[in-house]
Amino acid sequence: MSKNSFKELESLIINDRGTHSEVTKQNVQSNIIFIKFLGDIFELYGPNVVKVLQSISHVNNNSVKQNDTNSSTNNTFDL
Amino acid sequence: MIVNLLNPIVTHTSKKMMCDEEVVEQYLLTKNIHYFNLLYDRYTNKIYAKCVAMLKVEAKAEDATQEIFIKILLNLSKFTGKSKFSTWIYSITYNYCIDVIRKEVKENTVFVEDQLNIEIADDNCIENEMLEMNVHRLREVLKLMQVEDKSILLMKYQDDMSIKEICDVINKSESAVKMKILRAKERFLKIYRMEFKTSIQMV
Repeated sequence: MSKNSFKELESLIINDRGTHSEVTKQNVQSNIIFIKFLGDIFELYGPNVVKVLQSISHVNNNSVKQNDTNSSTNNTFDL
Repeated sequence: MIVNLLNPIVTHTSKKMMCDEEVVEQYLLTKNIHYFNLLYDRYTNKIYAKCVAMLKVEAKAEDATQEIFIKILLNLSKFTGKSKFSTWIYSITYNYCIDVIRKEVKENTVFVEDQLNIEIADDNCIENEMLEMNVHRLREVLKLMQVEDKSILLMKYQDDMSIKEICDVINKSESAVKMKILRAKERFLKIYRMEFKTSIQMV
């Protein structure tokens, strides 16, 4: 088989790596677990949060409408 | 039996060696971390070696390997099986490294003009010279190359990717890829000459 210095370089780099591979593996695993946890939390509480936000926006809209009607009535009084 | 129930991968591996696509399928179905470990063990060193060749610094390469694996796992559901799994993850690796290097403000590369004046009589001659080169010299030359040239040479000579596969990775036509490979080899030769003051045997 003919020589391929690119493949030799790859093996050289891999041999020099040492035990870092396991540390990286654990880091990736913990990251994945954390992302999964965030996903679960969102799945569990996400719909409720959306509902709360919707109700807040409804309340705000209603209060804005009320303010508008109040101000328009005030204006008529001024006139 | 209890062990097998707790760890379903044992039953699979005892029957046969699972291919990458099967492991991906099982991971997506079960979200079992053992399947991730299988993929990690198969590809971590290859990905790390590519990151070292591209990013030059081992610590950066280790961080990049970590980020790339997270990216791979978050995007596993997007793997359609159109290309080989290895091609898919190598494309993520190369694109990630290219992005990292582009983000860095100044890249320490030798400036090579687009118009190359090297007279190359025989393309195979350069290829043989490259493949039989001393590994440490190869590493030095790769360090000085532009990231696009470096990645295309690694795809061709380290990963043995076909032209079609390289086309899929870099989203270019076959003729464009062939031209890019040729240009990369020419630039490689130029940097090699400049660094080591040797003349490659010309035909």
